Amino acid sequence: MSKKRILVVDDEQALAELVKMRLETNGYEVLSAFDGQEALDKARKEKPDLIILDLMLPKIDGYKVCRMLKFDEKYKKIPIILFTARAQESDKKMGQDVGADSYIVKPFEPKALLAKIKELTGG
Amino acid sequence: MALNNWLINLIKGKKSQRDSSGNFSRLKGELRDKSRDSLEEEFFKLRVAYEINRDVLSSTGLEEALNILVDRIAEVMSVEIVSLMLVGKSSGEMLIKFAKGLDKEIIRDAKVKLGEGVSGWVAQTGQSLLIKDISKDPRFPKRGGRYSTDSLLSVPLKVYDKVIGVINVNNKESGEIFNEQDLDVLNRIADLSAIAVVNVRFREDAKELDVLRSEFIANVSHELRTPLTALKESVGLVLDEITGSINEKQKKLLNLASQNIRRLNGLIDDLLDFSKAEAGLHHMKRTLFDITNMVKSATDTFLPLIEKKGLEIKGILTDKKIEIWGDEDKLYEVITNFIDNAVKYNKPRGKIKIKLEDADSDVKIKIADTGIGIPGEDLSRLFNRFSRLESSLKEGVKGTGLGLSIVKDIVEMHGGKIEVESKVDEGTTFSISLPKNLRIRR
Repeated sequence: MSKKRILVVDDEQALAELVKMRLETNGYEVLSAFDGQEALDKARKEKPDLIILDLMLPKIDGYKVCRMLKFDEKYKKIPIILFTARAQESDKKMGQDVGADSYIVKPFEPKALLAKIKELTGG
Repeated sequence: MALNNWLINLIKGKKSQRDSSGNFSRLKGELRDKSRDSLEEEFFKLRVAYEINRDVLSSTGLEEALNILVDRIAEVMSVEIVSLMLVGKSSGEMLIKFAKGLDKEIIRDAKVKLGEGVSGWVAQTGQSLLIKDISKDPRFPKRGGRYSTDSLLSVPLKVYDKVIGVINVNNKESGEIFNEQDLDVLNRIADLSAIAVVNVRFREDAKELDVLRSEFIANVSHELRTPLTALKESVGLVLDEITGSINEKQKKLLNLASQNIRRLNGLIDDLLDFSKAEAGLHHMKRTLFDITNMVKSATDTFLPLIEKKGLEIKGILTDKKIEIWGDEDKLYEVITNFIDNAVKYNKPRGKIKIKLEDADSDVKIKIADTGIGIPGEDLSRLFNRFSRLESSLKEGVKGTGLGLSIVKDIVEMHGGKIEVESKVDEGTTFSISLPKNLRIRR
C-alpha cells in the first residue's frame, strides 16, 4: 500500500517543518503550504488524504479554506484537522460550522495528533 | 428634613394658635392627624427612593435604567407625561432619551439646545422650575410646540453642580396644577437619578474596558502559544529519538525542558481563565435568594467526591430560610470553591465542617477542614493574584480556574468579607460573611 499523503498548512515555517518531520517518521508523505491560497491550490491539485490546517493564515484564513473545500463536491471527502492556538469554545463551534472533521490545540500532543490522523485516514 | 421643618413650624404655630383660639383639644387632634400623614409621606418618599435606587442599580444598562426611572416618576407623581433628556458628551445639545406619554415621533425628533426653551433654560442655569401657567411666564414668550401644557415641572439632573440632564413632568392625572411640594419630590428623585445614571455609565465604561482587556489577553496568549508549540515539538522530536539516539544525561535535560514548557503553557491557561473570571465581575445579577438552600445544594454536589475520598462531612445548617440580596451564581461559585479546596487539601479520613450562622444584618458561612493547613507566611499572600499558581504547581494540584483573588473580589463586591484561620497540619477555616441587604462597593 502506498503512503498516505498529508498536507500541512501553517504560516510558521519552523512549526510546519517540525510537524513534517514528525509525520514522515511515522510513515506519511508530507506536502506543505504556508498561506491560505497555497493551501487551496495544493489541496485541489494534489488531493491529499488529509489536511492539517492552521487558522490564522495570510491571504485566506483557515476557516475560509476549510469552508471552500468542505462545500465543494470534489473535495469535501478530504478530512480536515484544524490546528490552532486558540482554544475557546466559540472557536471550536466555528470549526464545526465550516465542516472541519477535528480540532487540535497548540501546543499539541504528538500521540493525540497521530491517533487522530490514523482514525481519519482509516489506518 | 421636611418633617423637621414641619415640626418646627408646627411648634411655632401651636403657640400662636393656642393663644388666639384656646381650643386645645381640636388642635391636638389635628396635630395627631397631621403628624401621622407627614410620617406616612416621609416613609413613602424613603421607600420610593430606596426602590428607585435598587431598580436602577440592578438594571442591565443605561437604557433600562432610564426606562425604569421614567416609569417610576410617572407612577410616583401621578402624571401623564414624563421625559428625561441627557446632555450629549460633546455637543451643546440635549436629547430626549426616554419619555412616557409622548408620541414616538416627538421622542425621536426632540433635540434641545442648551439655553432654549424650558428644558434648555433648566440645563443652562441648573435651577429647577415650577411653572403654574406657562402662557403667563415672561421667560418663555414664544412657547409653542406640538404638545402644549399649562402647568409643568422641570428639574436638572446634577452631579457636583454639573448638569447631565433634565427631567420634565407635565399634566397631573388629577388635573390639578403643580405645587411646591411636587417640585420638592421631583427634585429629590432627580438627585437620586443623577447618581444612578452616573453609576450605570461608570459600569458600562468598565464593561467596555473589560472587553478590550479580555481581547488583549486572548491575543497575547495566542502569540505566546505559537512559539511555545515549536519549542515543545523540537524538544519532543529529539526526546523521542527521531533524529538519532540520545544518552541518559541528554534525556534528563530535555525532559526538564519539556516539563517547563508544559508549566509555561499552564500559566497561559490560567491567565486566560483569570481574565475571563474577572471580566464577569462587572456583570453582577442581583436577586433575593435563600442562602441556606444554596449552601445545602453546593454541599450535596460534593457528597460523592467526599465519600470517594473517605472524608467525613458535617453540615451545621438551619432549616430556616435566610434570604439575601446577591448574585446567586457567583456566590455559588465562591462556596463550591471553598468546599473544593477543603476536599482537595484534606488529609486521608479528614473532616469537613460547614456552618451557617444567621446574624442580624449579616450571614456567615464557615468552611473548616482538617487538612494540610497554610503556613503563616503564605496566609498573607493567599488572596493575591496568581498566588495559587506557585502552590498548586508545588503540590501538583490542578486549580479550579477560579483563583482566591476572584473569590475575594466577588465577596467584596457584595459588601462582605473573608477571614481565614489556619494551622499547619491541623487545618484551615474560611469564614465568609455577607450582608443580607444590598451594599455596593466600587
